[in-house]
Amino acid sequence: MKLTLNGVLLLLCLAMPLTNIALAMVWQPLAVAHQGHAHARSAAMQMLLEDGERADIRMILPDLSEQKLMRDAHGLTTIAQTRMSYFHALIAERETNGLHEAAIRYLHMSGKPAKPSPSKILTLPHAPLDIVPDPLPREHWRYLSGNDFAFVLRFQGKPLAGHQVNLTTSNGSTQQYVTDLEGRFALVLPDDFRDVREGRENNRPGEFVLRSEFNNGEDSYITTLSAPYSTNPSHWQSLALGAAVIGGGAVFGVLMTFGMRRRQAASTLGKRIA
Amino acid sequence: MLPFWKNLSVIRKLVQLLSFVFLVYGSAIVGFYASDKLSNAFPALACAYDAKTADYCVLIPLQHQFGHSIGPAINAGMFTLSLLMPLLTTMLTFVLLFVVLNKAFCGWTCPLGFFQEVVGMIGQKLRIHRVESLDEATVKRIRPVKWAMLFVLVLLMPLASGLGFLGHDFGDPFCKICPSRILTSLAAGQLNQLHVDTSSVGYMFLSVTADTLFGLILVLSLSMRQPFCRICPMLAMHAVFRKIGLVRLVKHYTSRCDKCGLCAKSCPMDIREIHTSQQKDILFPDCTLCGRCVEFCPDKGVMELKYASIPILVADPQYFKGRNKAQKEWEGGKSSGRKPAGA
Repeated sequence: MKLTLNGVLLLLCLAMPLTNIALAMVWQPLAVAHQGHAHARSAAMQMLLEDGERADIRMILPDLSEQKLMRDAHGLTTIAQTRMSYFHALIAERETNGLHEAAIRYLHMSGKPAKPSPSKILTLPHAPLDIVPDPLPREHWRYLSGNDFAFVLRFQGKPLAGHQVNLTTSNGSTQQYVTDLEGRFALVLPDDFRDVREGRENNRPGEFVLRSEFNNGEDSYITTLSAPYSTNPSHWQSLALGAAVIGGGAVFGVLMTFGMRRRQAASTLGKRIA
Repeated sequence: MLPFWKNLSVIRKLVQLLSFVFLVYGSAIVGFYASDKLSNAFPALACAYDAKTADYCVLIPLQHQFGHSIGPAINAGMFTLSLLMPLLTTMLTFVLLFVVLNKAFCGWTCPLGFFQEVVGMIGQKLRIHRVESLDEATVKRIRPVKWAMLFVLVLLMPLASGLGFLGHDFGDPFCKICPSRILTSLAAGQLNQLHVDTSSVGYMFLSVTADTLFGLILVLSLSMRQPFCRICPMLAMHAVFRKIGLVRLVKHYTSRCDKCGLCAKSCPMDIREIHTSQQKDILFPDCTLCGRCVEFCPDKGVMELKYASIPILVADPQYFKGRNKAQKEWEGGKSSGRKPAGA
């Protein structure tokens, strides 16, 4: 049997624990590897749209233009390098008998900077029911387990207060949150990675999905926002040890200062004698 | 007494304070995401690891371009000239900004430079005995270190990491040891840069070096002037382009200069050449354009701090007297006569 590259990647993806997230239409990466560097962000990528049959797919680029995308028979969407820098919003939408479903994911690519502010791409409406990161981790930052992050739930562009949002992670955690009066909710990403090894490169990122449902009396809406999250480096970084080493450096500084003063005093004395 | 709005050092401290606030917390002003786009090549140590910063220091994209783009491309035999475009864009942005303020980016905007000066002022108020000037031999020994920091930590190690000769740990080694990373992230309320990383020998070495250096700079700044600036790779980068900047330091040598030397004594970087030089252009590689040499020059018109052809401060006996008096008051009457005091 001959396996195509896409087939191998798909099998790899299916073998990953991401498949624990069986919720609704949701974006997942095809291969979750060490991310965050220019070379990784400047290549074409493939995303898997799970449960995404008949969905319309589009991507909002940093210059706020839109690009239509296709989902192949395996559920894969190939995203070519746009040569534009910063956030891209990948959106899949589907409407069936009054049920409006949406899956949203933000991608970070490298290239030429676009004129509009990156915040514009977040304020644009992506779907009627929208989960918006507040804020989205910018360059050199990422979603980390054990850290807190905030999001805003909007319906037709307006904050949705007192509404439930569910969090599911690829490591098996589930949590519920309720939005405040401004549609905002904060969460601490669960520190739920198993077999954590030392070093970011040695730990495969996980996936988390936020999901919310809303019925306005006429139609129903389901939206998911997915994103990768990484193991908190506190597993291999010691704050206490860092503070102790700074103390050591300070002691070294005191010794150096005394040494310099002694040399200065000796030099002054030498000049006086001369 | 010199009014504070005419005192260049006071004006400089205010500019430094504003720059510190902008560079450490500035995303509140320019917008959370703007710092990634603003220039990405700021000519001072504005740290990308600070979650609230308004702009990024040029040293981080330089290291990343060598370590994450050029090195791997050469390694894979896929190097093309187009790969140099991001590097050229970074350098062009840096140069464009640098032309505006020249090396004054060090003396007027760098958060770490300001921090060292503030710690020095605290040291003065605590009456900690100061090492006003380093001896000539020590200064000569220290001077090449900034070039080594630039070539080894900012250029060679990231490139070697990209080529696969060194681990990923050494992809941005200067940032890993930069005291400004710890300082600005702490100032922004983050403790996450204050750590020892035990995940590899390389990371552990770099994090221990960073923390040691931070503790060392903290203490040394109490009793000596600008300890880290002397070895900063940004100072070396500035030195390369210093001839194209618009801010200039000019000397009109007279024979009286030979007997004076107050300019050199007042220099926080111990540049003794400004005293002995008979050249007009005295913007030496280690200069941070703080302007203290002009402030403490007692001879009318001998030294000038200029913006292109416009004089900003010209040496003047009246200014000198007022400035020296202000310094004495600040130091509680410690200094006397024509001897300029510390920061």
